[in-house]
This record gives sequence, structure tokens and C-alpha cells, in this order.
Amino acid sequence: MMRRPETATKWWVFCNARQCTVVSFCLASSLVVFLGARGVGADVANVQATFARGNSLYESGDYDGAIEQYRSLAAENVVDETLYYNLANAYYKSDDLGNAVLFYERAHRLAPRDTDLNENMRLVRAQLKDKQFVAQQNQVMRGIMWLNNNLSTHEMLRFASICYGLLCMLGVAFVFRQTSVISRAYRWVSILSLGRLFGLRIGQDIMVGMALLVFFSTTSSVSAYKKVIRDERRPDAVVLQEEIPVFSGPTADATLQFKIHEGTVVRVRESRREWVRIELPGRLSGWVPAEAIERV
Amino acid sequence: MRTAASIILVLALAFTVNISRAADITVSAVVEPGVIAVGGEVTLVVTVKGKFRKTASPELPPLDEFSIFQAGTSQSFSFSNGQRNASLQFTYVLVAKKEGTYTIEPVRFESDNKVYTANPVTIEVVQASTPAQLPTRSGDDRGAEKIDASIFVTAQVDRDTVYVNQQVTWTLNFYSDGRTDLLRSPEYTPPSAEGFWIEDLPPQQNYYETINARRYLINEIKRAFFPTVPGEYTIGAARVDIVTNRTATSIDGFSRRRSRLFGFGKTTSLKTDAIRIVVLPLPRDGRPENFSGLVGRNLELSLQTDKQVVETGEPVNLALQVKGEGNFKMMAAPEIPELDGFKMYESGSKSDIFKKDYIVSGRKKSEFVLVPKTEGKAVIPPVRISYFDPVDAIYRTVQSTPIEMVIKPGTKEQGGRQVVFTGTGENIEVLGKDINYIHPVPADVSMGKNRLYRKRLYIALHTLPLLALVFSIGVERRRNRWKGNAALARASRAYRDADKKFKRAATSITSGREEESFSIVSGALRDYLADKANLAASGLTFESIDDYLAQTGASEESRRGVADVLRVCDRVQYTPGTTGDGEAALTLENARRFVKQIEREVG
Repeated sequence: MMRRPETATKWWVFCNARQCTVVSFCLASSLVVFLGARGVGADVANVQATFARGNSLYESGDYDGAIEQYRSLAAENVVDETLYYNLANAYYKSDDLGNAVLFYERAHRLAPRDTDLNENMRLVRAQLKDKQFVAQQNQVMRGIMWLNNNLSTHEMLRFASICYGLLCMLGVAFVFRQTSVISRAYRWVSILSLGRLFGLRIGQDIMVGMALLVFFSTTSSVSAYKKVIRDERRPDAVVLQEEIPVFSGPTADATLQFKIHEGTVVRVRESRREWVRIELPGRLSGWVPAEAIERV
Repeated sequence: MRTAASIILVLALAFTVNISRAADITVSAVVEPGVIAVGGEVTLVVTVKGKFRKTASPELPPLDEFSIFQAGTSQSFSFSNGQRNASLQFTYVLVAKKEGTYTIEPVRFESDNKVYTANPVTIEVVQASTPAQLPTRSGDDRGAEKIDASIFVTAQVDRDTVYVNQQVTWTLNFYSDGRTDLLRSPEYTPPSAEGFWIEDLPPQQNYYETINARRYLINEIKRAFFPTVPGEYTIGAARVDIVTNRTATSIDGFSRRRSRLFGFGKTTSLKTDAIRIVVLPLPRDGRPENFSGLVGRNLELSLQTDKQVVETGEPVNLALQVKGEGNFKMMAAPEIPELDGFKMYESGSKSDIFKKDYIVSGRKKSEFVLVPKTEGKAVIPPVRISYFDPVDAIYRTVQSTPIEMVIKPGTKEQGGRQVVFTGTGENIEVLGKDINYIHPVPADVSMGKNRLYRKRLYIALHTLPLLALVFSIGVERRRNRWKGNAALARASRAYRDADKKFKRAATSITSGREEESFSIVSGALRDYLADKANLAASGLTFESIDDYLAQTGASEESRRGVADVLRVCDRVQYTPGTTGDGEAALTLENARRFVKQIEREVG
């Protein structure tokens, strides 16, 4: 007498483990590839022509003309580290330290590892009147925050996404660690793994890799989140006027507390009508007219 | 609390003095003045200096012609060559009873069983009607009730009508004739004064003054008040708290020590009168345009550079200094106008205050760094400052001398001379430092706010790796279940295998091998049913197939259809050449249909 099997057949039973692995890998890879993509606008040619005019004017010593060209591009929503860098240079040459600092800061957000930019920023900061307010990190903090300091918002987002994608891929590999596909792949990939040197089995080795990726994806996600919040809320601002008084309240009748000078980077804590409350290192804070500063 | 403090103080003093070795002690006595009238007072000061073990009062010789009052004791310590030296000063007030010339026998001081003596002193007492040589510092108009008192305080100002920011010198005098025994030093509470900037004026002065033939020791404290706005203001009353002996009015060492030790004594507060000050506004007439509110006297202005011949880009230190009388703490830093051809940076400012002869004066120095931008001759123009002289009531203007500079073509644009050590012995001198040059036009320009985190696709793609992981876990779990259940694994794969074979049969039909297709269809159908029933395909008969289908709940149509397909296939296999047109394709189609139907019905 024939007996009926225990369960019904489902659609996913037609895939085997090897196919699943390949599918997962392809999906994760497609994500990584997508993250590397950059959008390019339609009228790039016009932008480049204006850009080139600005560079020519700069080279001929007409810094004001160069500023005009560069600013027209910035007004057309061109967001580019080279544009900001060149614009900051032109402002510096025009003795406008406030705007120079502003655009160096903007360029630095997009290209934090640009050596030319970093050297220029150091040079300009040394000429500021309020040098004491320039944020400094000690060696230990610089080491800890190295990744955070050297990646832009987009780069940090991509790094976090890659860590996350790799973590999921390692998860898939862990699930199928006993299949022949993963075993064969592990023989080659694990050449780079320290776990193999210490005699770890494939499962343990993958777990160590996953733990590392959990750490990196978590820290990079937190860092990326903070950068995104900074880009959205834009709390940092630069003093553009030569000298501005800082009052104890949002009115010119309030007590004058101290004065700050052009190029000083401040953090905006609160806005009220035409006044903003700013904060400086050393727990200094006060109210300044909103038009005296510009957000980075 | 006071008692405890007194005990601690006495013990501390006893300890500190006891550790000194007795040796080299000198005792001296001085009287002042040497000539007094009958009823007048003379001050006798006995000073003991040296290294001695314990404190002891000097022993005065018999003085029947005088009434004696102790006016206080002071002590000081100093270190010399690692040893402590003490100095004790005992002050007595002697009131002459009758005229004559008296020689006070040497005062005795005993320490470590040794007796030291002071020099004898002489006092001449004359008749009261005879004007004695009474030194007075100034003519006073103090009230009689104060003058009659043994201790009193007064306060006065040097002027009661001033201009804004002009100094008012306030003086407090504490008078003590020595007849009242003070158990503690007087405590001074300064006056309140709203509307003034206040500066203390040290040092405190002590001197003697004779008023109505009574000699007073005067402690004088001064303060400077600078009114900040015009109007009428008041310098409030100052208070001096004193603690006097309740009982003893003459020398009685035991009662005095007891009072000091146990905090006995009467506390009295002496107050000065409040003083009204009229503050005048600065006159409008003659006020210079550049006047910034500075009030002072004898102001001097100087402007200096550390070098007059420089290169472009080479920093020059420029110092602007103002000094003179006035309240420099309230003075704004003098400004230098914008200089053509120079970059100018403030490098700091500092102010110093001096109080010589009780007049507040000061110095304000502002420093700048100039960086010449263009070569040639340049002149730093004179800087002018206007101030109001409150004594002469006029505005004055002072100015610095202009500075001529020679600017040479620069080898340095900014910063100082800098040498780079290359490590090869050949060092390179850095001649100039400027910002890095602009970058060329980028090939790829980002348009718009290219914010990755705002793209929906980017966010959506993050779900795929997670789905892949979840999918993998599901697949692996299913695979593990199959491992322990061969029947389930066969049943699960049955349809997929049958479908593959049906495709092969279709290929045979297409290629003209129709009879072969019947064999393939028959095998596919039997294998499918065998897998579903977990039986060997070779052992399947029509009856066992029908039983299985009936048992699993397949429809009558499915059971009959499967049987028909198998019969057709068997017929063609056993009697070749009996196939009709299109029969192979029809049989394949039926087989597919019934397998699908069974898959739905049986599961």
C-alpha cells in the first residue's frame, strides 16, 4: 500500500544551496557596484566652460572675476570640491578670509583627504585673529577618529554599506559553510585570514570575520549618521564680517560679552528671528546677528 | 569661636617663639615728642629685637609723674641665615602730671634668665599755658565730640564735584589715642558706592597727629572712585569694627590676656559719614571728533616699529602705547586706521596700572603685525588720541610721530625665515609660503545636491543582502530536513524531474522520433508517481498506481487520465507503427496536464 509523503512541495524547493549562494553574492555585489555610481548632470559642458573661465581669470590675477564665475556655478547647484577649493583660493587672494574659510570648509566636507586643501586650510587658520577657537585634536583622538576624519559623508555611507553587504555575504557563507562550493572558496579566500594561521575551523573563522564586520559596520554607520545629520542641519557657520560683537541675548541692548573675528568657525545652537546663538570652544556662547555668519 | 581662635593664636605664637634660641637681644626705647605740656601725652616705644625663647613684657621703671596706658603691641619675624629673628614693639602712652625734666630709667627685658636693658630717655614737661611743640599734619574741622573721643573714624574726599571718569580720592582715618585698649586689630568694611569704578590705593599709612594737645595714632586708608555716568551719587559709610576691653582701662596684663584668650570684650562699630558726589557730564564745547571718552591728564602717545627697512611679506611688529594719569582699565584700546599697502593683524594688548602718590595712572600697549604687500616707501601716519583733562576742563589731543618705512622687493611672502632640513647636509631655506594653486577643471562635475542617502533605490537595495541571508537560512533548514527524510526529498523533487523528462520527450517529437517520445513520457510518469509514493518505479502496476492516487485523494479524472496515458504509451512500445498523426504530442500534453493536476490535488 502506497503512503503519502509528509509535506507539500513549495516553489523554493527548486533551488539548491549553490544557486542560493550565487544569487546572494550577485545581489550584494550589485549593491556595492551601485554605491560607486555617481550622477552626472546633463549640462556638464556648460559648467566646465564656466569653470574654465574662472580658472583663466584666476591665473590672470583677476580674483574678483574668478569669484564671480565660480559663484555663478555654486548658484546653479554645482556641488564640487574643486569648485569650492578654487573659490576659497580666490577669496583668500582677495583678502577675504571669512569667505575663504567658509569655502575651504565646504570643500573639506567633500574631500577631506585633499592635501592641497588641508595645507591651505592650515595656512589660512594661522592668519585668523581667533586662532584659539580653531578645533584641535590630539594624536590619540586623531588616531581613533582617523576614518571619521578622512572620509566624506558619501564615502562613509559607502563604507558602511560595503561592511553591511559583506557581513550579509559572510552570513550566507556561514549558513552554507558545509557545502562544497563554500569549502572550495574558503581554501582560497582564507589565505588572507589570520584565523587559518591560528587553526580555526571554517565556521569559527567566518564568525571572527563577521564580528569584525559587525564592529566596522556599526561604527561606520554611526559616523555616517552623524555626518548626514551635520549635512542636513548644518550647525557649523563661519564669521564673515571682520569683527562681530557677541551679546548675552538676541538684542543689541543685551550685554556685550566678547567679540569674534572673520574666519572663526562657530556652532549654531539656536535661531531666533534675525539672531542666532552660537557656541565656541571653552563653553563660550552668545547671540550674534544672523547675517554676520554663513552656514558651512 | 573667637575664644578658640585666640587660644590657637596664642599657642601658635608661643610655639613659634619658643623654638628660637635666646641670643643677641637688643632693647631700645624711644619717646616722641621730647617736650610736652602738662596733661599732654608722650608715646614711649620699646623695641626688643633678636632671638629669644618666649614672649615677655618689658618691665617699666617706676614713673610716678606720668599716667601710663598701653597702646598696643606689634611683632614681626624674619629669617636670616636660616635663623628666625623676632622683633617685638611695645607702645605706651604717658600722660604728664606735672612739669619738669624726667629721665626714664632703662626699661628691662628678661629672657632665658638674662636681663637686657634699654637706653634711658628724657622727657621735658612744660606748663600747659606754654605752647608746646605739637606736630600737627593738618588743620582739621572735626567735631568736638569726635575730638574728645578716644577712638573715632572720619572719611573725606579730595573733591566732591568731578567730571565723569575723573578720580575722587576718598580717605578714611582711624584715630586712636591709646587710652582704649583694643583686643584685636580693627576690621574695616569699605563703603558701598554705586555708579563708580573703584580702585584701592595702597599702602595704608600710619602716623601720629596731635589734636587739642592729645596725640593720636592715625591709620589712613585711601580709595580711588571713578564715576562712570553723570549725576549725583553717594559714597556710602565705611565701617570699622573694634573690640575693646570691657573692664581694664589701664595696664593690667592679666586681665588683658584673659580677655584676649577667652574672647571677652566689647565690640563697637564706628561709621563714617556718607559723602555726596556731583558728577558733571563732559562738556560738549570743544569736543574733538575722534574723542572716545578718555579722561586723564598728561597723556603721552608713542608709535614704534621694530624695523623700518623690510621686504614685502616680511612681518613688522608695531606697538602703540598710551600712558598717563587716568583709569586705564576703562580705556578702549586705541585704534590704528587701515594702512594702504599693508596687511595688519592684531597681536595682543596689555595694560598696566600704577598708583604712585595715590593717583591712578597707567599704560596701555596695543601690538600689531604689519605685512607689507607692495614695495617702495611707505609712511605709517601719526595716530591721534583726544582726551579730556578734568583739572583744566579742556579737551586735549596728542599724536604720535609718523614712521617712514622702506619696503624692498620680498623674497618671502609671509611668515619668518624657515629652513628645511633635508637630512643630506644640504639644507633648503624656504623663501616664501603661499596657498597651493587652484585645481584644473574636473572631468566629472557633480550637479545638484547629490545626496546618496536620499535615493530610494539606495535605501531599498539595503534590504537585498538581508533577504539573501534570510533566504539562505530557509534553504539550509529545508536541506537539513531533507537529509533525514528521503521520501520527502523524492516527493519534493518529483515534479521537477518529470518536467525535465517531458522536455526531452518534446524534443524527440520535434526531431521526428515520435515513438521514442512515448517511452520517455511513460518513464517520466512512472518515475514521478514512484517518487511521490516513495516506491521503486519498476514495481509499479496500474493497480498500485490507482490505489496510491485514490488513497491520496486524486480525482477520478486524474486517475483515469494517468491510466489512459500509460496504456497508450505501452501500446506504442509493444506494437510499433500504430501511432496516429499527432498522437505523440497529444499524449505528452495529457501527461503534463495530469501531472500538474495531481501535483495540485495531492500536493
